[in-house]
Amino acid sequence: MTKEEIINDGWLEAYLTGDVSETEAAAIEKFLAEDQEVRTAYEDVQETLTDLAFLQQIAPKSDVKQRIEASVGNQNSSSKQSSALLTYATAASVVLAMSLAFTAYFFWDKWQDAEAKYSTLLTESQVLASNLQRTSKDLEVAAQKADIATSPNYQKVVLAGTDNAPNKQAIIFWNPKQEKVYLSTGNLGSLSTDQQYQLWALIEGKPIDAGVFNPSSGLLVMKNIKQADTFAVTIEKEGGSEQPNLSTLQVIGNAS
Amino acid sequence: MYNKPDFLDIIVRRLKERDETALQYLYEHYAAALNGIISRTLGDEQLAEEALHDVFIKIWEQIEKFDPSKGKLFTWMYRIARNYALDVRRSKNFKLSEKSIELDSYVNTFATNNKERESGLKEMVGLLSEECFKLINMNFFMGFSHGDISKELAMPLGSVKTKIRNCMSKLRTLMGQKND
Repeated sequence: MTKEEIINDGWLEAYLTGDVSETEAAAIEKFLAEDQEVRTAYEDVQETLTDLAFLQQIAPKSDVKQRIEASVGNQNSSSKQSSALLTYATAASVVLAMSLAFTAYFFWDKWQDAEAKYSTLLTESQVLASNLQRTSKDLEVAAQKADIATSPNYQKVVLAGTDNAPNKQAIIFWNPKQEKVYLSTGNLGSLSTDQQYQLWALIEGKPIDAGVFNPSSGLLVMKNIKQADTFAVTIEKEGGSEQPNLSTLQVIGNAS
Repeated sequence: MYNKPDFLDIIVRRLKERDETALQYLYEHYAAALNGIISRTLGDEQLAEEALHDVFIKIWEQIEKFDPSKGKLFTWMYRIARNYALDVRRSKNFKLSEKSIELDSYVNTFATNNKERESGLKEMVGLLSEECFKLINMNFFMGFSHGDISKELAMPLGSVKTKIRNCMSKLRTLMGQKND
């Protein structure tokens, strides 16, 4: 089989549907691995079929989606999660017991001292708290807004709409060194009261919560993020979730 | 910029970490396209929906086997859907006499339940030869192998292959023009 035969005589189409012998498949795969032209031709075939499959789609009518979710949910809850939780609980209790013993053994004679320090700390933290109340976050942000947008230390990441929300957009200003993340909510619309937007930083596909928010006209201070290759916004229940609900993905953008 | 392949990469990783919402995403975006293939292969709506359920469970269970160096995610899902629909068709429970695929009605396979799409599709049917649509649909949507088509249409195997190739090229050009 020559390269020209593979491209022009329909071998890639046959390969796609699995309509080839093992020997033929191996020969085609060798070309796919080594030859850019063959690879591009195969990508074209795949794209044409995908486009046509979307044009000829038939929406399933019944409750297929719920039945899939039920089947998958049963599998998931019965295996991994419970054992992971158990491990976590065991580990946590061991850590707790160790730290209690540690505290009791080393600090019993310093109890008085510690109590005095504690009351000092308490007073200090009360002062800090009242200071914090006086400092409106919005004011702080307003003062920094111009700086942030023009600072070379801040990376601008445009989050563009997904299939769920093709016309939506939001913008992230991110300073990886200081780990600071500011969010301009763009044209994200308001949600019902039991829902909130949630920002996620993704590192190699693993989501990290970067805070929940409601649409706002100013810049919002989000949670500090040290590392991310992608930022994404989903719609979650009020207060946010531990894991993103990817089916509600609104906007997404890659940090360069 | 928003980059779709990157995003699908994330979806695959999340599936591997057993994130059910990643499967929901796949369902919402690809179930209808895969159902179009399964329905046309089985010729029965109810059976197709049962098969569609099983296909998504297979996607969930076999995601570790997906190898992006061998093809795109949709192609991988397409092959699962096609092969599973063919398995169902070959199984004892499937009575071919009752649910045989009427070849002559292949034009009906263009019917979708989306009026807007249907008209766009008819536009292209007009531009592509009837033979091309017949060949492409038999091969990619109704589960016919090149050998089956060769027998059914009394056409040499080599011609079937080359014709399907040329038809796919023409279709690609037409779709490209429509997208521009």
